Amino acid sequence: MTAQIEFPDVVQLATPLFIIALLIELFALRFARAKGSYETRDTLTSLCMGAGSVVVGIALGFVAYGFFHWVWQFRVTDLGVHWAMIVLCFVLDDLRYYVFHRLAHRCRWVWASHVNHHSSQHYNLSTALRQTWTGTFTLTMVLHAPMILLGFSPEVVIFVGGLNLLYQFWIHTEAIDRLPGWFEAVFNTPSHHRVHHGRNARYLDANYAGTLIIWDRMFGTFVPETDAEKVEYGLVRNLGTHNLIRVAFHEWVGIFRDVFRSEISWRDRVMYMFAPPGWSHDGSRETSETIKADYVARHPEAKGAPGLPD
Amino acid sequence: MPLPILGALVVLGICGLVFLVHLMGGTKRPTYADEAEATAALLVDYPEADIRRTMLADDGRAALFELAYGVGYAAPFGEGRLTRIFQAGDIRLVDDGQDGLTLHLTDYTAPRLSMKIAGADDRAAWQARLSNLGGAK
Repeated sequence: MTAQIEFPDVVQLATPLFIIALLIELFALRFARAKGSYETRDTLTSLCMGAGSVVVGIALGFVAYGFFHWVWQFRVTDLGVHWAMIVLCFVLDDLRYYVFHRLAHRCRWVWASHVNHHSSQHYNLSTALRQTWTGTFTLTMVLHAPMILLGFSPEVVIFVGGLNLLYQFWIHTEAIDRLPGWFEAVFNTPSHHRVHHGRNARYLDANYAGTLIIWDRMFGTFVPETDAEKVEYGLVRNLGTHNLIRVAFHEWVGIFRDVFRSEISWRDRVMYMFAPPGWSHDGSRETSETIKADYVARHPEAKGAPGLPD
Repeated sequence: MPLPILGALVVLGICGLVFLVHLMGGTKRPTYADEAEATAALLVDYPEADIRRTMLADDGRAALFELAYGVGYAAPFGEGRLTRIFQAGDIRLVDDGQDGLTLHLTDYTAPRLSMKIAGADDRAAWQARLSNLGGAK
């Protein structure tokens, strides 16, 4: 039943919409005094990373596709393609995305792939397209397995995953301030996602949601955007290059250099691969925990504020 | 969508959008107006930095800082900034290019940094300092 229905590749189909949306944002910045900024080399880097991601997806997509179909043979049942099942699959996939995204920020192996999405110091619709080239190597495709085993076909899972990515495109903008309260309460919005892209101490490791912000509210990772502290975009230690290869692979190079250090233990080598970004065997680097603690030490009045320790 | 059409759309889209950003002033390189602005940039990222001396590049596009321990660097980078504190082993080579210095770093994320310094004495002093980061000054 499931195999007879063909689902479109929504991200490929949406490519013209991405271009039109970027044009609208650019014109809004120029003629409607909308908030935000573009820089030429930053934009070129983001768009080329997006194009490269599509190329890699075409070249290596068979790995995830093959894995999904291998898992499918062990399914408990076939839930079919009824619209209600697709909606249910979308919601469950959004939870899967939350787990993946949290892992992407808390495990260096996955962060190495995801970091380039955060490497721009600008926050605009081109930033949304600054996508990874190395996602396949993280093997996080295994996170889809429970849904497929439950009976959602690989085609449905891939389709809703594409819809989720599509939803996340429009929230990468400063041009939209806050949306109505009910919408901000349930859905991921430009305001919530600006926080996620922030490098300020209070905004680190927050708002992992894809479409529904309810997961962050449920699991304690929600931090609201505050007018008292402007979001600073980018990485804790920003890149000084627009070279695509360096943007795409710099954290992998960092892992390689750390793992093959001399005079560290095998446990240290494993930790350099899988511990949270910033972990070091001698404690010489900053993690988000130490950054937050240092910030609170310098600003005791902020103690206990959302995103900061007590 | 057929692959050739997708490819053409992506290539034309990238070229057109980047050209539009350029026409709208996106290629303009920001500068620091003075040493205070450059210092403020370094202190955002390294609030604990104990700055003893600051030198702004002639074109305002970078600054070097003599710190209690090491040497600091700050430069505008798009809307944001690039900041570093150099310690022993961070710098492979410092080139004196007659109108400025080029720093070749071991840092994969910022392999080469340049700054315009017209004064030969200033260049020589900073080149010597950056080539000898083993100790505090």
